[in-house]
Amino acid sequence: MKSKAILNLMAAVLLIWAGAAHGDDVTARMARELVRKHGNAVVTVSAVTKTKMSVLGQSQDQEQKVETVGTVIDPSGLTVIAYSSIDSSAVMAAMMKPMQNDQMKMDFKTEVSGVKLRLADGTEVPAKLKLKDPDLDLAFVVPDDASEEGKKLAGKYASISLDGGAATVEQAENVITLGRLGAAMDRQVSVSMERVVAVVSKPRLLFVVSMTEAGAPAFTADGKLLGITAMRIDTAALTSGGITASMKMLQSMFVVLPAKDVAEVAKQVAK
Amino acid sequence: MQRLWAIGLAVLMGLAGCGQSSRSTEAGEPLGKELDPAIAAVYPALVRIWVVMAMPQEGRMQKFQAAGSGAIISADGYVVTNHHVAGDATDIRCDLPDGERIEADLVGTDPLADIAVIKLRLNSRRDPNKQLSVAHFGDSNQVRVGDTVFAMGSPAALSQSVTKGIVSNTRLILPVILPEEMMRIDGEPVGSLVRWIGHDAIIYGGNSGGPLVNTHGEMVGINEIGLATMSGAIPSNLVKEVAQDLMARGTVQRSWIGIEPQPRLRGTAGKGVLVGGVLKGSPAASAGMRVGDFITRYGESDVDAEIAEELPPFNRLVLSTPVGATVPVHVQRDGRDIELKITTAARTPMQGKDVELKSWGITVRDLTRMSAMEKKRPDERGVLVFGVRPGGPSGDAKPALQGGDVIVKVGERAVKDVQSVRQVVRELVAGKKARTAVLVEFEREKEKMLTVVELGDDPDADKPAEARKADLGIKTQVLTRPLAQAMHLEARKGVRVTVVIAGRAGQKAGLKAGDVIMKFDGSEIAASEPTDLEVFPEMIRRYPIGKEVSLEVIREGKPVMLTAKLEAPPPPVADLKRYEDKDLEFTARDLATEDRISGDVEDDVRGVMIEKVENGGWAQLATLRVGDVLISVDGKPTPDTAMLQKTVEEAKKARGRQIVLFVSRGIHTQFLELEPNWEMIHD
Repeated sequence: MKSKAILNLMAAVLLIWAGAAHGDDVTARMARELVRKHGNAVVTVSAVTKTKMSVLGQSQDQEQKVETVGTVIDPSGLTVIAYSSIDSSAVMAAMMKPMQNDQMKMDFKTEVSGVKLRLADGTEVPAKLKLKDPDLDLAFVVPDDASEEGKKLAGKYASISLDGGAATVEQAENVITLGRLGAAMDRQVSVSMERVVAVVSKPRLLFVVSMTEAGAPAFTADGKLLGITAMRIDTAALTSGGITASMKMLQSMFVVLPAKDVAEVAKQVAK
Repeated sequence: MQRLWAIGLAVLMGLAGCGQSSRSTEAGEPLGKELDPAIAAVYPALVRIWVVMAMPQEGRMQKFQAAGSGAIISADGYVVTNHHVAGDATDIRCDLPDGERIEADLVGTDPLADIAVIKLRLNSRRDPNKQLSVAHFGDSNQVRVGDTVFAMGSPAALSQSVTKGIVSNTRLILPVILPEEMMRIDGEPVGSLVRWIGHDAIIYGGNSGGPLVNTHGEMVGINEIGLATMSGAIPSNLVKEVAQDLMARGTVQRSWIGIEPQPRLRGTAGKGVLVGGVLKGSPAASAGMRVGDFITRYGESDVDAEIAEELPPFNRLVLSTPVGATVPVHVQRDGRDIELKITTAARTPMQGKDVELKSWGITVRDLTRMSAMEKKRPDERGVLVFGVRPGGPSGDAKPALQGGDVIVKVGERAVKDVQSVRQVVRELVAGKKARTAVLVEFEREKEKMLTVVELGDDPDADKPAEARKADLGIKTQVLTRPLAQAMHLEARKGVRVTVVIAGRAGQKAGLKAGDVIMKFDGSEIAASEPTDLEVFPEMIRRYPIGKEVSLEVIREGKPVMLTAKLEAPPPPVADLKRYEDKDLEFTARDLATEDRISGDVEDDVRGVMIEKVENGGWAQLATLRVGDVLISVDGKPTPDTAMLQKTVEEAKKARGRQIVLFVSRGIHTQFLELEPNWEMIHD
């Protein structure tokens, strides 16, 4: 009797394991399918940023070249990125806030120029930063159709449509995010499975996920577009400092913005 | 950067010694008897020197403002100072002890001795006939340890001041434990020529170039460095010699034989200067000098170096040989005395001047004999890349240029120096507005590489619009539970209005500061903790602009129903009009509503906000600051950037000596004098 019970238990464990393995397998297959279907719409966006810090009436510039991931959301080449990936002035201002007082005020500003879209085949298309939404951590980039490369590609960009993006997920479910690796990894498409840490409903709907790359598309486990990843930086936590506050901030730094919310802002680009 | 080492050293020393006594004539304290002749002879000839300099940094020449000291050495306005104060200055202004400010020009500079001579523009004085006080050189060979000396100058750019000390050492050199690079200025090893007069009169950053004066009122040195509590002055005999050359020819001619001398090794018998190295192709190599030889006689002088302090006089002997002279040099080799005949060559700078090639996004230098040798190159042809601007045309090239690369061909044409690069580029881009792709051949160590650089102006910064979202034109605080209880409110959620912005949707709806909003368009405002600060603004932002919404409000304990029509927010700061003046080097923008809400700008102030002031630019020299509100220019109001542009352009056309800016800083106002050098701007 006892041995039968043990056998039953083992069988149950095996079944659970097999089920889990099967589930992982299905998600992995879906992830590969998403890479095949949408990988070309995930691009590298490069830009030159000049951050100007002003203290006591004096200003100093720091120039650097940045690369980030972008998601092409329209065949016209309209691309969404995380605004924080090209403008860190808000974060810097928050970090330096404790050092400021009435006598010593610091000001940070970032200018962006030389924006380029680097497509999956390596083609570089000059582009412009057209709209920013620091509130949602989004920025929209449009290719320069007058450029040599832009002319050839006008209206033919591989893209992920945000229309009909009403998919949702619940806490502890998996989401699949795509991304682009850096130059050292030949800018290959990357894919990762993230767990939904929390679903925040106020002040707006957000899906908090574990570590990912901001500006990338996120999908449900069954392959429906959930939204675009972005960062929610708690500047108050940065200002107050302290390890606990910083750890809290890190736990909720990456979010998925629902696709329809992103689409709503994207409409303003055309205007 | 090397220059900064020297300046940094002086600063370090000054900080370390700030506990010592120092006296200023302006302090009005009684002065010791021994000070009087020194003050009378030199103090009136002291000048505080303001300079604008440019240093290479990440592919750009970054301008900055600095201050130093100097002394007038002739009635016609020559001033001696340090090379690291004025040698690379693009603009020089001098303050005399009586407060008069006079512009000056660089006459000549010598990085190896760290001496420069500038000349005051006497014809620009209010009274060109007014006599200048002149300081005189003493004999630095007569200086003895223990002598009383006075360091005169402008520590930390303060007005002319005097500190007192004694001579601690008459042949101060850098200890071997300090890296040699610490005293390289523009690549030149200053310590190879100079043995400083060490003294303990405090000097500080800003004292550089100021005289060290003996009790007879003679200049026995020019202050240059500081190490801990010890200060170091370049002996006046060397300064005088260099200054005379600079005044006569604008340069100092020196000889080079191409050896690396060092003191004899411990335990070595006999005398002489040990030859540690002989550079290939040098005059010494051609004459047959070998590593390990001991030089015992150079020309007519016996020479010896048992310790490091004895090397600078030997170097000075070699350097001061007439260029092209053939000098008999005796060496000891394997116990034999050998006479060599060395024909000297002209010494050239260790490195070329830093130049920015804006259309390339790089800073470059010409190769000199020594820098070419250091790069193991056969000759001086080519252009050495020093810094590359990230994202600039060269930084964006594939492959990108890097510091240390040597450009040898541009557009398939060989280039021998910076001048020839400029010439080739002028021809290649003539008549083209767009960026021009140019094939560039460069050498990186042993590799011969090719790249394509798209030469041209930087693209303007993108000006993205900011997403427009509905706005009510109020500021609120969260109605926390304790607050609700204290206010005797039944509701425990909502927001309290703290500011109603005039003319905006909230005011039009009748909202008042102190109102508590409970519901927005029929929905409860779920804010009850301080962390819920964004809940209400986010509710508003999610509505379309133009939508009418109901507001359930508690005012003085009674319910009030209001209706508000949501509006687009005022233009964000990024979208405001700007005016950038590239000549005067500042940027201003129209005032934003946010400037007044935040309290940064008083309600009654009309003007433009100063947003950027270039480092070392004319506006910065006038002490214009980021955050100033510019109210008027030359008495004409500048309520917006359009008026500012018009007024500034008129002022620039007039090319007056100064432009008067009237600014507001918080509750304070101030007049500023902007004094651009029109000739330089025109260039």
